[in-house]
Amino acid sequence: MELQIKNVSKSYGKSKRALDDFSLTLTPGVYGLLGANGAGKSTLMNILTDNLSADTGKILWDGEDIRRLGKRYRSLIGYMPQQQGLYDSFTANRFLWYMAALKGLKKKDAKKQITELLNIVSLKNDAHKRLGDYSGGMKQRVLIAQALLGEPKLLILDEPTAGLDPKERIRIRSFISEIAADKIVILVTHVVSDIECIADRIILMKNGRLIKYDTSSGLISSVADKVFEKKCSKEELPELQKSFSCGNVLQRDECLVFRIVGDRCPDDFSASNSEISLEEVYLYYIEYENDKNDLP
Amino acid sequence: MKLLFYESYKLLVNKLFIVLFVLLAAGSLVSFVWAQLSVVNSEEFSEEKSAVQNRDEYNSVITELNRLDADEAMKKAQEQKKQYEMCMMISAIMSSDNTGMNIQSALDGLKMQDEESFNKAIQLCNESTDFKEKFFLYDCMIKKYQYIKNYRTFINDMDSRADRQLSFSIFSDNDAFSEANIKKTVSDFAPLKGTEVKTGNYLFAEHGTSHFITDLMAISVMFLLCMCLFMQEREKGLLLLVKSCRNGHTDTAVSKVLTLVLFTFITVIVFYGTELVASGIIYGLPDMNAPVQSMKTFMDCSLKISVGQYLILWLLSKLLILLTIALLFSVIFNLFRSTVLVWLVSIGILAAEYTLYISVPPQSSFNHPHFINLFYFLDSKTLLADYENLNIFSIPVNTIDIFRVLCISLILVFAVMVIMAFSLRSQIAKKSMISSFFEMLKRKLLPIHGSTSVFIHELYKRLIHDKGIIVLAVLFIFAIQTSNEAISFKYDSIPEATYYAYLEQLEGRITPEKEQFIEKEQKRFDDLQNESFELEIMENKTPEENSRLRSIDTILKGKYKGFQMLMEQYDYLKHQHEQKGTEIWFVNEKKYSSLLTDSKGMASRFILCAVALTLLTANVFSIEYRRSMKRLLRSTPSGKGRLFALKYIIALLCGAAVFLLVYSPVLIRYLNNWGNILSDAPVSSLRQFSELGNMTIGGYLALSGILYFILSIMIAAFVCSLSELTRNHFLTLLLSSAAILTVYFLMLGNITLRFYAILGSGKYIIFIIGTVITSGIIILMTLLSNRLFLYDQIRRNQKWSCK
Repeated sequence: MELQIKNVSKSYGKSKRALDDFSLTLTPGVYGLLGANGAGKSTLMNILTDNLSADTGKILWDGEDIRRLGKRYRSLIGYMPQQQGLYDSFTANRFLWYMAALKGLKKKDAKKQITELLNIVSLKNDAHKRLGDYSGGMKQRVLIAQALLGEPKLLILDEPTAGLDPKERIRIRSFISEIAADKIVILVTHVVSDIECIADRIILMKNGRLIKYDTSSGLISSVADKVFEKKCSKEELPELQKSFSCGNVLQRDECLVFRIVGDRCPDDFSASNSEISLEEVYLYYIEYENDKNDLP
Repeated sequence: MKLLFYESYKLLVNKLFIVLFVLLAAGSLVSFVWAQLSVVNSEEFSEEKSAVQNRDEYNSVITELNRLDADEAMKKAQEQKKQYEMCMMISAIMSSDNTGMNIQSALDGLKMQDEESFNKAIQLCNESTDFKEKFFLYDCMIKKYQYIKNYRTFINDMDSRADRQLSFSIFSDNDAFSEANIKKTVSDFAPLKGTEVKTGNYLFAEHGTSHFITDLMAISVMFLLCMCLFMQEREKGLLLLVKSCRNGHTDTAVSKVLTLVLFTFITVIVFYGTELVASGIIYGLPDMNAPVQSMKTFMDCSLKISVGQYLILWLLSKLLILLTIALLFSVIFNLFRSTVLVWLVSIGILAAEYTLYISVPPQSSFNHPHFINLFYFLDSKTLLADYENLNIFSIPVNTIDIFRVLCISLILVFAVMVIMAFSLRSQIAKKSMISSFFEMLKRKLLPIHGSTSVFIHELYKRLIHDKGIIVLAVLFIFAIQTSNEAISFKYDSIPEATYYAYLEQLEGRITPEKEQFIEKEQKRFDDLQNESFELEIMENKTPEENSRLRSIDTILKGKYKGFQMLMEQYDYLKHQHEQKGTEIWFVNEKKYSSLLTDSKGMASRFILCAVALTLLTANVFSIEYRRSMKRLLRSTPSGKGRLFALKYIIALLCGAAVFLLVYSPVLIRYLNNWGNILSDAPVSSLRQFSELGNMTIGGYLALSGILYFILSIMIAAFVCSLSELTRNHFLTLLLSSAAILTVYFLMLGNITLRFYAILGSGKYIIFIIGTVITSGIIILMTLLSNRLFLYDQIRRNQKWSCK
């Protein structure tokens, strides 16, 4: 099972390139897609879900163009969009049956899967409740359940844990890890901790290009000598924040620690001894590049 | 003030609002100009035609006559008219087919009547040929001066007329409304005594202030305005955010109401202002200082105002009533959360008001629903021109006062209601105890079950999610009621009743027995005519003979005329038989016309069918955009072509169901009442279908059924396509309503658009071309919506368009 994205480009109008010669090959596992707003993540997902066609390049599923596969390709996808509206008068049960119908599931399989998925997302007791009466978190769980219907081979989840409480978030994360053995799971989220926990590999995107593709630990080690810190007082903080836009403030014991990312260590700063987080990796690769010139 | 600016700014940058505003304004202006030009360009003579086509002459005649005293002017106009009448007669004689001798003797005859006039006419005939127009122009002037004379009498004799009326016992009860009304009328018209009305060109004011379509367009703008002001934030989920802000409650509500006032004012200026400008360009400007009573339609007006003041009052009245309507819509938008409910309640109120307006006779004793009515108030010209006092607890109250008080009160009440509803009403729906109980029951009793048919789920969306089942249930009740409704025919006269009685006996294929019966009846009436003649010439008639003569005369004036109606039909049938070989069938023309050419019923069934289909199918595609489901659906195997096809099929099935529920009960009703229909009789047995040859009534009914079926399907396809093209439920409802109303008014107004008129006159080509064009447009819309649904790429995110 392999998904190949080959030199895909997509422009909106003449001025803006949303995807710029993007290439990547994905095999079963969980992939975390990270990038700033406007990096091209949504465009990539729309192309992968057959909602948008690329201007140039190809996407191949096991060597076959997904445009040619059409319906057969879409039957392999499970997609959970972000900020999704739902039919208010539908119950969760009806909505899942509707999605099962659209996915072409047989009645017997649909019944089995819907029952299982309602259990997994803890909605069995609320299955006959109108979606209009659901909370944001419950709607999110229904959407996860529908994405998993039909046992998809390619699962594209856009902010799957948004709106969920910590317990539910952990449950869903664990479930995604469990099912990822024979699936390609693409997780798009700004919750770095979700990616840190379950993503085998992380895809960093910027201005429509792939800028880094590695494991979480690989990425962290790549910025091991790029993180610096300085203890500071509350009064010093505004001045530091003004000087270093890629800074992160941590509360440690009774003082504040100002951490920055960069290629060289500024005066008064020292290399960080403590653990580097994926957020700092993100800051280094995504934000620092833009602000390089601002460093003293 | 800042909030008012932002609310206005939101409207001005709303492309949908701006585009529709411009389209509606343009539509209103075009329809106004079209209506005026069709009067001006008609073949018949009219004052309008003269004022536009021969403006200089028209104005010079008015100026010339205005220099004279009214009586002298009228005398001169009469002389001129007589002169041109003579010209017309001479022209008619000269262009006739008679021989030279006959022409000369006819001209001599004319000359003998009035030699001077004849000689002048001959001279005029040699100079020009447009004397027909001039004849009508002077005729029109005579009417104008006649009106001046009448108005003087009307206004000066007001007191004596009132005294005379009060002398009748029925009006002279001190407590009665009638007496108070007479006294009030006298006192209201008292200031107008001595008003000198002037003859002039007032077509500008008369036509520029009476275009109903502009009113409809302006109402649509009010609806659109409320939709943009109150619905968009709710639909985009911004309302909770707005209401969480410091000024998000009363201040925002007040600024929305003020924006509504501002834009209503702009609408009045744009819609009615342009109409007045267009009217001015077409007809020319009148003397603005002349009393408004100078216009004949303002004879009953009790306001002492000039034409210019009338125009200002007219604009103010429009502003008041449109503001009332706009605020009424705003209340509805704030009280109901459901889109369909808002639409239904708004349309329901307007439909109820309009029905009361047209169905309650203004002369009836309980005429309040006619006068205290949005549509009466909307007709500002009639409101200001007519003098009407209503009986309010036996006190006569003028409709203008009612309008003023009611509109201002309603504006204040509605504004407060809008502000309160917006500020206090929670935007989060509360769950009722009943629904909680049912949910608990469902949880306990219902297993996880369902269907894997996309069709079933899409049908569920139409019928349950969008409440289509209610529409179908209402139609079903309507169908049952219509099927069982009795058909009664009113005979307007004895001849008509006789005709019905004959047809009861003779209806069906002609037989020798029927022929014999007709001959026998003919002989009977011939004998009666002879007897009558003999009695008439008889001198010294006995009382019995006189009585006999009277009874024969009654028979001849009544039943014989009915028989003549039958004979005319019989002659026509025999002619058809000889010319086209059509079988002779007697068909009650009046009875069958109600079945085959019931234009009012046809229009009302069309509107019912169209409204039902709009409600059923307007959300077919827009629901997916409103719920942002498109991306999710398109990522599934059946979410593209198959889903589109199924959605379309369901919309067409809705069309078929609505057709069955709206049209078939009509046929069932006739079958229930008549027992059977003469389905084998040629439809050309009815004279208005003379061109239809051998087609039977059954065949015609089947053809009409097919056409109505196609019409229903086409409406469904139209609304459904519109739903994908606009991607907005409200907009689809609005545009569909506009299209339906346009067709409805065309159907009511223009007989040539009705298919039976086209078929009846044998204009098959026009019919085929019309059908092909309409189907072509709908097929094109379908293909376009199909393309958009299948291939249109997901809209760019805001971030891209920003950059």
